[in-house]
Amino acid sequence: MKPIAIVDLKTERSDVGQPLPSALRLLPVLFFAGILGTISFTAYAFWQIKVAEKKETEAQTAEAAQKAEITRLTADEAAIEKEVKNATEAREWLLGTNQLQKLTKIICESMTPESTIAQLTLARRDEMASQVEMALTMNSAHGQQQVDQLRTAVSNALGYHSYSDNINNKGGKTEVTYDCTWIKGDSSEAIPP
Amino acid sequence: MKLKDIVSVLNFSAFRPEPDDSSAPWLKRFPKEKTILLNVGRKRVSWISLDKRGEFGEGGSIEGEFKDVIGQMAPDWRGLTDNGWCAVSLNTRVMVSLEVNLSRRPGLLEMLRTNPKAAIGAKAEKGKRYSMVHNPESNTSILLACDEEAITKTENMLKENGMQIGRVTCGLYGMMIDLINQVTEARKARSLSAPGQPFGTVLMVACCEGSVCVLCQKEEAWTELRSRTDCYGEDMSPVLDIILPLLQNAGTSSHVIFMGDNTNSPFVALLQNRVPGLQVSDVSIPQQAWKIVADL
Repeated sequence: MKPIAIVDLKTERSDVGQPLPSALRLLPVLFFAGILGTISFTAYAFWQIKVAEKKETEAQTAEAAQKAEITRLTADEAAIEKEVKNATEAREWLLGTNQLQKLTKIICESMTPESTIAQLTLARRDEMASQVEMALTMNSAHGQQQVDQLRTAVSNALGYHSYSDNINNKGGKTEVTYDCTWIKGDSSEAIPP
Repeated sequence: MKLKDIVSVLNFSAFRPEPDDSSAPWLKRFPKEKTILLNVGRKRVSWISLDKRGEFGEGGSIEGEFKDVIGQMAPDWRGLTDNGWCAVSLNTRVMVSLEVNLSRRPGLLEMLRTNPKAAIGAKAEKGKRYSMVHNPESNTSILLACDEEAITKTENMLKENGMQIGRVTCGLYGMMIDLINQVTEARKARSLSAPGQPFGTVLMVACCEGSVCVLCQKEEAWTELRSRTDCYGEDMSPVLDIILPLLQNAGTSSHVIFMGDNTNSPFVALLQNRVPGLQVSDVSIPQQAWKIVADL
C-alpha cells in the first residue's frame, strides 16, 4: 500500500466526529422539498380559493341577472295573458254579439215604412248568459202586422220560433204589448222569459 | 440532539468532514472556503493562500522567527481566509532518521501517536511526536520525530492570534515520502518492462524551505539517510555538503532524483557542476511543497 505523504502532528481534539453517510443527504433534501412543496401547495390552494370566489361571484351575478330576466319575462307573460284575455273577451263579446247584430239587422229590415223603432234594448243576464232579453218599442200603424212580419223574418233568417205568445192590449189600440219566448229551432230546451 | 446538529444536517455540513479531521483530505474539509498554508522555518516564514476553488492565490515570505512574525502577519493571514483555518508545515525542530527492525504490527501508526514508547520502544523520547513509514521490501523504516513543544507553541500562538489549525505537518517529510512513492512506481514499471534488470542505486533528495533530507536506496533497500533543518537559504551549496558523502558511498553511477519546493531550483546545475556526468533528475512541479502540505 502506498504510504500517505501527509501526516498530521497537531494536537487532536477528542470529539472529532465522522461525517454522516452520503446516503443520508436525502433527509435534508426531502426536508427542503417538503417545505417547498408545502409552500407551493399552499400558494396553489390560495390561488384556487381566489378563482373559486371569483367564479362564485360571477355565478351569483349571473343568477341575479337570470332572476331579473325571469321576472321581466313573467311580467311580459302576464301582460300578454292579460292582452289575450282582453282580446278573448272582446272576441267572445264580438262573437256573442254576432247573433244580436243579426237580430238587430233583421228587426230593422223587417220594419215597414209605416213603422219606426222607438227603442230597442237587448240585454243578457249574467246568471243566464245564453238568454237575451229583448225589448222593442215601435210605433206602427199596423202593429199586429208588423209583429207578424217581425216574427216571420226572425224565424226565417235566424231559425227562432216563438212560444208562449201573449198579446196584451191594455192601452187599447194605441199600445200593445207582445211577450213571447223565442227559441232556436234546433234547441230542445224551452227557456221561459 | 442539539440544535446545532440539526442545523449542520440542514446545511449539509454534517456530511462533510470536520475542519480539523486529520483523516480527511484538505479540500474536502473546506469546500468553497478560503484557507492558508504556512511554512515555518527557524528564521523564515512563508505562506500561500488557497481560494474557494482550491487554487493557489496570494503568497509571500518574511524573515524572522515565527513568534516574532505572527503578531504582525496574523491579521493579513486571517484576511486571506474565510474562517481563519490554516495548515502549518514545520521545518524546524524536526528530525528524519532511518531505523531498522521497527515493529510493523497493525495499528502501530495510531499507537505511535498516542503512546510512542509502546510503539517504538527505547527510540521514543519524551516530548516528541512521531510518524513513520516502512520499506515494504526490506526491514528499514523512516522515522519522523518532531519536537512536541514546537508543535504546541505554534498551535497556541496561532490560536491567540485568531487562527484555527487544521493540520500540522512536516513538508520535508511529506516530500520525501512522495519521492519514495515515485521511485517505487518507477521500479515497478521497470520490473514489468525489463524483468530481471537491476534498478541500480537511487539518491533521493528533498529540499523544503531550507531543510534537506537525502535517502539512498540500493535496489529495494534503504541504506542511508541524512536530514538537516535550516540548512540553506538562497545559496544551496550547503546541500552539496550533505549529499556528497552519500554520493561517494553510493557511487557516481547513482541516479540522483531531486525534489525542491518549487521548480527551477539551482540545485541540479550546482550538483552537475560539482560532479560532471552525474545523472540528475528534477521531479519538482510548480508549488511542489504547498501541494504536498495541502495534499493536492
